[in-house]
Amino acid sequence: MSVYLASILTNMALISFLALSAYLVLVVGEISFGQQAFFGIGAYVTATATVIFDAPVGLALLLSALCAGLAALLLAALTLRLSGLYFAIASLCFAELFRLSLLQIRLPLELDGRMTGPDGPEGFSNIRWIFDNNIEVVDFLSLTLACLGTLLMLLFVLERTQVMFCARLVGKDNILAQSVGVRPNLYRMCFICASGIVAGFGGALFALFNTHIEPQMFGVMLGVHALAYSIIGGLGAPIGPLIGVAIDIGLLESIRALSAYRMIVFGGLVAVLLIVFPEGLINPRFVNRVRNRTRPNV
Amino acid sequence: MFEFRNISIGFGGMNVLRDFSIQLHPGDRVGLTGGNGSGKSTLINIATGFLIPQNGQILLDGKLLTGMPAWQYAREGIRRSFQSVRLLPNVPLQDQFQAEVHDIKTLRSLLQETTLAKYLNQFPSEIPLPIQRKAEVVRALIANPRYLFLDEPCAGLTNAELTAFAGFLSNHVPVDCGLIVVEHRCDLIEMVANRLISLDSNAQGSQTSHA
Repeated sequence: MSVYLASILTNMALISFLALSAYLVLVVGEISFGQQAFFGIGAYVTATATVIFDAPVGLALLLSALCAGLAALLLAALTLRLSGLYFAIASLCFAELFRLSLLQIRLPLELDGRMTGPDGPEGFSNIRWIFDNNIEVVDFLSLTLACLGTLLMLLFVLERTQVMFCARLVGKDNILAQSVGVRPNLYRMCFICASGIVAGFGGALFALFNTHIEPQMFGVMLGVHALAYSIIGGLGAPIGPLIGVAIDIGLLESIRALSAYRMIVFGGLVAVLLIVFPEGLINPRFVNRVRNRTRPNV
Repeated sequence: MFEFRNISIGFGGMNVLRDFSIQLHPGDRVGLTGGNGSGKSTLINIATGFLIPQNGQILLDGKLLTGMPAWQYAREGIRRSFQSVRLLPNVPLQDQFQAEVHDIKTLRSLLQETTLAKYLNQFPSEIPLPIQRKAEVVRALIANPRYLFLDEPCAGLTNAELTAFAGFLSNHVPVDCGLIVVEHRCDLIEMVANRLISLDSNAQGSQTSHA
């Protein structure tokens, strides 16, 4: 496999984490424009842990997921009474607050003659775990895919449970959910927290792979794309957001002839898909139809 | 015993319920009537925790429920239906009941007996209205409710469908479950209820018994 292909696939897998995190929030009926912040928190925590504190990478990944999860929990707790548009704005503010704060954190360090550490807009350079351990792009791809595969499996198992049904119920009809004894805020908090964990984990891998991160990478557009992937892919199954990622990064960003027009084509594509499939390609109704076909009649 | 004690609520200076008290017992079949704006829906919303009264208390077997969130009322066994059908639009009928921890056998036999079984693989938009109404009641029944509030369950049904629906309620609501039906159509109440509560315009509950 060529290095070019492997790095594109790795990028797709990394962004898939972000797309899945947006999916988890959409399932409970909220729209978040702030998932990129959790991705960024994961990236910065891993960078700090591996470079400055020399922590083992497993611990760094765990810590990243934990920190991003806690940040998401904080956001969920603060916005307990907000929903819809107001939640979307609050999440956007949260993400921008994070990004703009990063611009102010300047703690450059010199390690082994190389500049590293968070340095405001210059970013965090020389995250050398991948070089120090002689990890090829293909190896990193396998690692990322293994993590993504595990996550997908967990989500597929979750999809079959009552928990997911109740979460979708909360997202679709909050009043109905309450009337059957489902506690909406609990589901909302848990799913937003889980979305932070997922995004943080993806961000951690992103930092290791990119070896350089900077606040501008975690801007609004990243979050908007993550949302768009879930929306065009559909909310019926976790595979939906991945299809969105494949269309955008796999098709548009990677094919040279198209990449210059990526935003135009992608924007147009989103508009067309939303007209033809208002609930995305893999929408809940489609998933339920397939499920109906495959199950024995009662 | 489910008790409203001195409930008062008003919206924008207009009193809808003032010092309203009633007691409901397990197995009661209550018809709740009253003109438009007399507070029928408000009463259901208060009884199921969706509205908090400005004054007064809701008690279930002496336990104070006022101020608890609506989902907790539901877990205490106080269930309701809504004026307009609320089923998940993208979910086939057989999966609509998943929010409840229920016994699959009970659900299946209930679905068979209530002619819902024919529609199990269909989405709500493909199911006739009377069936949707029944499905809502079935959803409440599998949770073994102690008191069930139905808000205009027969709106939009023909007279024949209404009769069938009344039969369905009499057959399937357990005898120890209190049933409270809000309905404009007196025939349903005559068929189902053995006690009538009328909320007249001065917002004082008056009770009459019949049948």
